[in-house]
Amino acid sequence: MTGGANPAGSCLVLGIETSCDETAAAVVARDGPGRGRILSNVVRSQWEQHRAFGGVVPELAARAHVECLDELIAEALTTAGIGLRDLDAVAATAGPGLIGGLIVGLTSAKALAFAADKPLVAVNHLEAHALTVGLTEGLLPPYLLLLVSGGHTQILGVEGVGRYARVATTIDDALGEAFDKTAKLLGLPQPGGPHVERMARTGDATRFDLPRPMAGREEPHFSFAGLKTAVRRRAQELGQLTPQDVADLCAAFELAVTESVADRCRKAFRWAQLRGLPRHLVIAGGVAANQRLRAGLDVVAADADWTLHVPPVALCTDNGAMIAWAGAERFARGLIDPLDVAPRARWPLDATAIPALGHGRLGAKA
Amino acid sequence: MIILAFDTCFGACSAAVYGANANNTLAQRFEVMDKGHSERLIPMLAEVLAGAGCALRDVSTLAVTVGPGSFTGVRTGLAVARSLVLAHACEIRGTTSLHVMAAGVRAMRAEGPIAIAVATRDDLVYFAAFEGTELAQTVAPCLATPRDAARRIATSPHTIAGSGATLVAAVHSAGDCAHRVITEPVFARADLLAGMTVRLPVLAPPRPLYLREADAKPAAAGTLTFAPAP
Repeated sequence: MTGGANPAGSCLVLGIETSCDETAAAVVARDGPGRGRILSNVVRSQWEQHRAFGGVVPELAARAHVECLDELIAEALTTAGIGLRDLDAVAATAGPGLIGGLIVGLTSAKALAFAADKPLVAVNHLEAHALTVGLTEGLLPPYLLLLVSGGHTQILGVEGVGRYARVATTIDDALGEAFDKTAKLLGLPQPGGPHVERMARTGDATRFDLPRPMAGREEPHFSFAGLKTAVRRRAQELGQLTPQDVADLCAAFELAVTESVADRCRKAFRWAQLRGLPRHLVIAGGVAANQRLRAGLDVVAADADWTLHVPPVALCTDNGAMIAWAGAERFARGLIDPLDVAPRARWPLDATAIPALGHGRLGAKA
Repeated sequence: MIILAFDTCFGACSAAVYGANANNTLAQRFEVMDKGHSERLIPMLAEVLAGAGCALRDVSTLAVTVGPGSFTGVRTGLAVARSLVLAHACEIRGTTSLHVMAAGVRAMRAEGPIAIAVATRDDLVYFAAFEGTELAQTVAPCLATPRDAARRIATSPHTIAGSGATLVAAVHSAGDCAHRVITEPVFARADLLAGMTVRLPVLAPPRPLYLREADAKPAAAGTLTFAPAP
């Protein structure tokens, strides 16, 4: 379905994000030449509600979203100093993600779009991560994207809005998931990423020799399940773990992850050069907050004469501003959706990519 | 006074526009569906408003069912109601899906007390009972075994309806009074809800009535042992 941006191409878009355990709403302005500005960005983490379960419980997440989403939307509009009637479009994450949460966010967006007589934009969460760098630093496609979050680990060739080529994906765990599982087995709190990183700072990364999953393989896919198992084995061999043991294991894990991802990116650079992509590597997703990973990728990029682009952490983790921005980018191109559009728990950005291992009977997740 | 009512709790999606002054339904839609409520509801609201010849801004009251029902269905209705109010400040009134189903049973000319039992996949029933012309609640909505449900209404003959009605009637014990079972399906139809709306409480905001905890188990402890902190 297509519709029109206003003649100047500028627009104000509300973005709603409910695909996992953050409830978020934001208002973003896009000007005629395509520059973005965040007018408000409200995020409420549900983590405390999931803590006792050691991970996100989908039904609890959906329940929490419906309890507070309307308040967050009202807050986002108030902070932006606008009313619904001032918007040009309403955007919401329609997938991929936890279906119960997606239904809450997308259905709310439909109701707002209907009530305010505005177009709806159903946004792919991965596309929103992929395009964030356009909002934060005006970098426009084409570029190479490394998306590393709790649910996704992919390298994508971002060719344009709506045009993506999947270069690589994980064949088992997502990178953020590997951090969470490592934290859990080492007795660290969830979410695991920041805690593993904090412990690793005081650890000796060379004390334990962990594998570098997939290193050297031609196809730049990822795998982290074996690495997590290797951490478990080393820990079990030690018997009782001292805080220093935990720190050293965290440091070794972080180093192994960094070197594995760096190796995968080098392979992806070759793919990108064959395609004639400019030498820009963008990192997005919550794991982009990891300092050692960033530093490692900085070196890899510099060695290969590539430029690394990383949005601020608050825009790497799940947020409404990236949904609003992706919505604005689509709306500006006339890409809008009907009010009966269905949410999609699984929604790969590149529908032509061959699913990697572990995609399940329902097809590729992402 | 124009009322826009809708329900998505169980196996149907329905919407109605009701003129409270003339006590008549101006437009309504009712479709049986197991899933897809979140796709169908907004287009259905647009259809009934158009059918009634009015716009959302003409609506003074939204009426919703707050549950019980499928968790996703319950949330769909409430997410829409809460968002519509954000866009168009009107009041929301509402009640339980079981209460509206009881109104449906009353409309079938059933006299005396009414019990509604909706079977779940794990052989329990969402259950409630009502009496009188105003359908006052005598057994509050609960999730119960058919036996417990039967015990709650053992002292007076009820008309029992809903997909779990036969389950409840089947555990009838000696000495219990005889119930009447309605086997045809009953739904929490929006047109019935609309007709009840002026007597329902204002909900600010409406909150889901799940009657069942989320299925989640606390995390198991790890197998590694840790030295006490120095």
